[in-house]
Amino acid sequence: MAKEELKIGEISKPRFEFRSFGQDFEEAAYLMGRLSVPVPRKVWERESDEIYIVSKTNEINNTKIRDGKMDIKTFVTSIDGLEQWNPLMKGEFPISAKVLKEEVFPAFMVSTPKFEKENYSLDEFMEMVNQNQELQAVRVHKERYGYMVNNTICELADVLINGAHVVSINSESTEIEDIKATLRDLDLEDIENINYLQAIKRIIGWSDKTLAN
Amino acid sequence: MTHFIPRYEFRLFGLEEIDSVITTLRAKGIAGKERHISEIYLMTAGNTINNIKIRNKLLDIKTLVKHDDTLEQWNPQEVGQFPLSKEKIVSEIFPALGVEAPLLDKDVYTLKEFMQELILVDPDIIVALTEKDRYAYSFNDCICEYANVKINGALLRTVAFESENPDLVKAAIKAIGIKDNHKNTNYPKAIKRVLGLEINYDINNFF
Repeated sequence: MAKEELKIGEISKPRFEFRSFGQDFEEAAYLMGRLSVPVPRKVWERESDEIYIVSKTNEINNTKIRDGKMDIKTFVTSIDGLEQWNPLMKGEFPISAKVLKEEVFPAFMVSTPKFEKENYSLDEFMEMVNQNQELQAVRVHKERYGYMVNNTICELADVLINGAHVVSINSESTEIEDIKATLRDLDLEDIENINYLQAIKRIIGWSDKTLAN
Repeated sequence: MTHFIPRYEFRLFGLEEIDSVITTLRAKGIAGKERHISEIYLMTAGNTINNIKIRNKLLDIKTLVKHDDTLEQWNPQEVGQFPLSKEKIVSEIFPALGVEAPLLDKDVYTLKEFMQELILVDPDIIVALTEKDRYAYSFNDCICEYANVKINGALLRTVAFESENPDLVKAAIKAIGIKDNHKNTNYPKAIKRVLGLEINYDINNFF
């Protein structure tokens, strides 16, 4: 069966992902730049401000808010250390109490509050997060630089987590062997796969593990 | 117990936004030592006046004693070197943290025991591991520094001016060109922002 050709910036079947976070991926970034094929201009540099909602009791659902929209991805499986995530829910503010009750708070794996209104604005939702000791909203600012190596979508990013800086490096594809080849080529084989949720929890002190470097 | 004279301090944290302040300090100040230091900060949401940290198995507490316009005056106090007695932990450390001390079943705690049995198990206490590359300067008779600080692996830069004489600190800030919109930010405040322990949920502050 022919491999799916990944087109950067477009939707594909679920991908496997390697990502890591630290302070120094200079060598890998240099190699990524040298080995990349040309990519569409729209992904050369992308900047975004997002809010991640992290939960003390949940490690498998990744919830973020960007441009007034919420999306939740759920962890599916890990093969050879590469993670596969699927979209679980997408919603737009104002968001209905029904969606909050049936999808959002169950994804957080925390107790569901009482809902007295039919719809909630972003401000009102954030107040709910503030009231819950198991949840925390984390400011994330991303400056992302897109590449393509071995038919895997790659990215180097300067990320601010509550204002403090980390570097993230990533390779993702529907094909595990292509990611593995990319990690070999970028000299990242011995680097720990750390997803956004884990990185954030390590930085805010909710995990005793460290970043990759 | 070693006695230090309380100093007035002005400190900034940031990234590119404080580059010009650091550049000016490097140009106008007299360079001193460079040091790399690893420390453990103990943070709680309720504590706003005590800066509690452990370095080289020595625990010290700096207490905010005074605000003078934009400056803060801190009184440092060494609690002691690990292993620490149960009495010190109960009477000095947990009150400074602002959380209730658990029942302690040992008379003396090593650093490992203190962290594993008393700190990491307490849901009200968050630990911040910091790595600092500190560059000392003197300027306008003030003790100054800039530093690259990793807080649980995430990087911020900081620059600080301190002296027992608040007028010298104010003059130094003015001479360096620090603007009015730069607010004095101490280490616990900066760390809490990264940890999310003090967070303004006004959504406009997120963008």
